[in-house]
Amino acid sequence: MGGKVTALQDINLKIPNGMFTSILGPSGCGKTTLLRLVAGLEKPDAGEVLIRDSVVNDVPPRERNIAMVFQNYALYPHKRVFENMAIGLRLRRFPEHDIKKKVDGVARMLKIEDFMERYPKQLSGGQQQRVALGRALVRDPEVFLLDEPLSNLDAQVREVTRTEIKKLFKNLQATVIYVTHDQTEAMMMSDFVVVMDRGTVRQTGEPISIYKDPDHRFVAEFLGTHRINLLHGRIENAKFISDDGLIVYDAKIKTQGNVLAGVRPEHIVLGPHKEIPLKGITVLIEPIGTTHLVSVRVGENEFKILTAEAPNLQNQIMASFSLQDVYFFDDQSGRRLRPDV
Amino acid sequence: MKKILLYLLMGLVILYCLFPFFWTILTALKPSDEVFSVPVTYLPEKFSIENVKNVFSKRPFGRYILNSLIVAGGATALTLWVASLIAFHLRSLDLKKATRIQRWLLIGAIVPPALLAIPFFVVLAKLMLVNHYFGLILSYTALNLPFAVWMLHAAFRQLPKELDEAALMDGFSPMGRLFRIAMPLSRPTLSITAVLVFIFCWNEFILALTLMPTQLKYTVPVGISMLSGASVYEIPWGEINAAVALTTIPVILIIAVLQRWVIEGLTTGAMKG
Repeated sequence: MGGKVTALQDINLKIPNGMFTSILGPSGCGKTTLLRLVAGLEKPDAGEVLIRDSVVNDVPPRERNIAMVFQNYALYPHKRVFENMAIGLRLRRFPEHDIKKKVDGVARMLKIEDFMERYPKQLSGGQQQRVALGRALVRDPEVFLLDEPLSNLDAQVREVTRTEIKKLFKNLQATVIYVTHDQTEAMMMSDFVVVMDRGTVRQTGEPISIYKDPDHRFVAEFLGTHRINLLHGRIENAKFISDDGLIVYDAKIKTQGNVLAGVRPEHIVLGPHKEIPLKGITVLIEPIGTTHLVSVRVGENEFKILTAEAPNLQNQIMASFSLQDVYFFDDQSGRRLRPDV
Repeated sequence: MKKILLYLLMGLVILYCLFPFFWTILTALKPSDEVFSVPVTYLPEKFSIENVKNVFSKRPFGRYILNSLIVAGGATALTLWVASLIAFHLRSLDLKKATRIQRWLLIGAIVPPALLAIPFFVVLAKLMLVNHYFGLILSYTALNLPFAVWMLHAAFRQLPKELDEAALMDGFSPMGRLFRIAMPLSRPTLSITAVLVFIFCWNEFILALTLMPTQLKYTVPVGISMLSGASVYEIPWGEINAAVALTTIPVILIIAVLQRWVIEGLTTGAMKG
């Protein structure tokens, strides 16, 4: 992990037991490195890795009672499916009879019992992935480590598998650490989310709470099906003034200085129904099933609004939002500025 | 039409390449007087197997073949075993370092075996391994190691790292990872390397002559060179050709067995996970 790039810095993390935890972040943020540290495939330059209160820094992967599902499955191509799943137990000298029972049981659970005699290359991507999952499940480990297991699947297969995985691990009440860059996955599947950015942990918590109450601009931007609208401006005398001076409202915040004001597209409505008004021109309409993502130009800024009714293009339009839906972030550090601070 | 032309061309090339071999077999099947007849006859007028019979009766040729099999087979096995251990470790180093080490090994491959005849003799004499199978096997292994390491290293490096990591998780020991995962997945390269090493050892002459000088321990090339006729001036081409034709049989057999793996490797293509 050394060399010129510091992959992880100042990590102080506790992964809850019996829950599905996602480690979420963009490529290169260090999430896979974190997973590999837990797995024992990497050694930390400083600090300790603990599994259930015992330090495992010097414990090799095979003795850590963990199982990992790799992004590209890493199945042994020269062994049949049954063998792929059984080998972990065989190497640990389990009795043959028990191994067969266990493997068959897991195969039934994953609905791959018909593939036992096939070789990996004879299976589709989704099937291979289930075999990889099965290999981990058979081991009955304390912690399951999954490294972006869905990223190689087609979109539709991914959605189905997502639900299946969530149900599966919920039934087992297993401790799962799931690495992904897809925030939808993390939000939908996890009980606990760790958001990472460039080697540091930005925020941890339940999906809903970090969505509703982001600590940092990065978290607010990364989470959310539709990207949050960020407006640059400053706060003077508890009033927010946008850079072009067109948008001004009461901020009820004591801090002064340059800030970013963020509002999510789903919190802006068409019409004057909420307190803070926006007047602009519709420049783009992107239909998404029953809703539309409408881009409105206000002065030099563009806002995206999620709404059911599609307004006319190139028309003047009025929209509004509420102060309680606004997130203020410090311009320099990105940290969240909360009211009455 | 193009296909016929292609096949014709291929046929001509094959004929050109294999003609010496066919000639050898044909000569072996001619009686000795016909071998030397002028003008040259291509197909034997009288088929006779007296050459083959003579080869085995005048000298313990069967014994020579056995010696060659022991030495070539043993050297191939030893080379592959040692090379796989080295190559597997090289694979875990970063590429630059591994390439540098390989280049140094290559120096050993550049030296012609003939140059090594006397130095090897001296060393093996001290080890009391002259005229012993193992002495020759060791020498051949040393000569073939650079090549084998090169080939196996390349093959091992192509295996995805995740496979190693999955193996670590499953609980394979390092030797287990080498012999139960890396080697089975590198069968094509192993086969090609084995064949080439075997052929080298089978055909090698100088070291065999120097290091196993007693008649009963001759390898085939040495044995063939010792075939002589009634007088010092007579070269028994008939018998020599018979001997040469016979000695190609084991090699052909080995290639026939191993080629299945080579082709299998070429058709399965890259692994996906």
